[in-house]
Amino acid sequence: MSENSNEQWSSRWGLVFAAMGMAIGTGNIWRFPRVAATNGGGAFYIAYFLALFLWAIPLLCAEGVWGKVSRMGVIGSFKEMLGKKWTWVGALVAWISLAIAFYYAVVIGWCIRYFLYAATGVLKPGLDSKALWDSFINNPTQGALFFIVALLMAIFIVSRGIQNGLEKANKFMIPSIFILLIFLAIRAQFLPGAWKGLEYLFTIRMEDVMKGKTYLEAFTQAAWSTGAGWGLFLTYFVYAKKDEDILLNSTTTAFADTAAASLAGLCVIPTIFAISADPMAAVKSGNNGLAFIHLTNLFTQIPGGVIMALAFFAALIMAALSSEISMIQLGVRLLEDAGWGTKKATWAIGAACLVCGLPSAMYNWFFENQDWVWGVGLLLSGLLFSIGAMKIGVRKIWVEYIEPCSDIKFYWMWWLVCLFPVWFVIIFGWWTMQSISWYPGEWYKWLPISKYTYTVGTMYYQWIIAAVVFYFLNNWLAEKTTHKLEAKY
Amino acid sequence: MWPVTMTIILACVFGGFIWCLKTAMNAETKKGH
Repeated sequence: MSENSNEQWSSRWGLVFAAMGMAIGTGNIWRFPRVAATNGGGAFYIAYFLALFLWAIPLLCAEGVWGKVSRMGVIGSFKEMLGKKWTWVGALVAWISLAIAFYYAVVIGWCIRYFLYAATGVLKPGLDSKALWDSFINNPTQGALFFIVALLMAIFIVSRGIQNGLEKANKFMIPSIFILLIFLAIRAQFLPGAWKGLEYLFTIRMEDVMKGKTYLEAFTQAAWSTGAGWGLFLTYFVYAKKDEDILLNSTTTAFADTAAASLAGLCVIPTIFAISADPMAAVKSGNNGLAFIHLTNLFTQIPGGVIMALAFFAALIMAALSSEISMIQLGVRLLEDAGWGTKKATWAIGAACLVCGLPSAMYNWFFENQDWVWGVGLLLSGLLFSIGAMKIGVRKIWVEYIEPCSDIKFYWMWWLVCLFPVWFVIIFGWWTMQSISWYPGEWYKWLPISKYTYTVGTMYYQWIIAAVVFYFLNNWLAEKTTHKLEAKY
Repeated sequence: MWPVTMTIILACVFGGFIWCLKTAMNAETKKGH
């Protein structure tokens, strides 16, 4: 056994900062502003607040219970909470998050590359930002190189353990992200015409309030951004104190995530509306298009734009890294539950990330396919937690595990987990229908992946393969997963 | 109108976040005594 295997957070704040780091990712900085602006602005915020309470907070609570009660990672916690037969369900949830960890380091690599572009004077007036992005993304060697750098950074942090690695890193990165975003948000307001962006982002239009798509996009963003249902919050709660609050820490994580996203919105949208000749083209250009083409181009046109670019890409790197380390820690905990030491487990998960992430680093179509398959898969993970909670008993969980240690006693916030299957059917059904409409008559196809990147077929086939493999490995996984964390305080 | 809605929205976001942190801080202070 490793000397680190029974380590816990040094204080509540160690857990809170780590949980914020888990939730705050690139999705807050490059996806939230874009999706909020293109889906109603103020109306989107109303829908997003609903999503926080109806989707994110109940799921985070369920995860907190799983981790704190079982003191095991995702696989072991499903076994402990729901019985041996459910072990494979935990493995499926864990796999979905690990599959994301594999390609997420690629994104950190892109941000490091662009930070270096800004630091070395590449981002200057007259730059063709689209050509720069195209030449980078179509260069497998560069993609692989920066992916490996990003992965090594994440492995270094996780291998140092809970207090010296994750806790210290997050206590530095989270305040840094907020400081950088506050600086960017303030700077953006001094650009001429920035108010047009604020007007666009915060106006509440009744037609958008009444539109279903506003809610679908908001719930999807909340699901992906807060990290609810991924098993990451669960993993962090394995190391929590015995009397650690679950409900308030879940709420804090959800609001921290929204605060970071709003700061990013206050920076990105006013900057685009102030400088861009066609703001709507920029906000509708996708995550990569927004950050690496449009914003990069705008930074070259703004006086002192290089400083903005450095701050923006540094914030992106830290946001992505603080999420990546939580995903790697999820995998490390699984191996620790099987008796592995921390360092050995970290290098093993790092090696898995390297092998499984390289195709995404080298070929963007593979990255996009994996992002689609496992990104939507997270909705499924959320459903599995909510079904598990209902099987155990929502009231029972509240009375035995949440209420006794909670600094806020709002049962209704937890009870809303019962409604989760309804939101799942609506959101998942909408994504399925969208995907079918993208590939009329061919929605069930999945090979070649480069052609059928976003089909329902590719999603279902990959999910089914993973589920069948873990179903047959159920007993083996249950027998291997036996080492609980022994909480000292 | 948008400055009003902006103020309300941002007050909810940052007010909610600060309230969570303050409640947690108070709880930790109580536990410490």
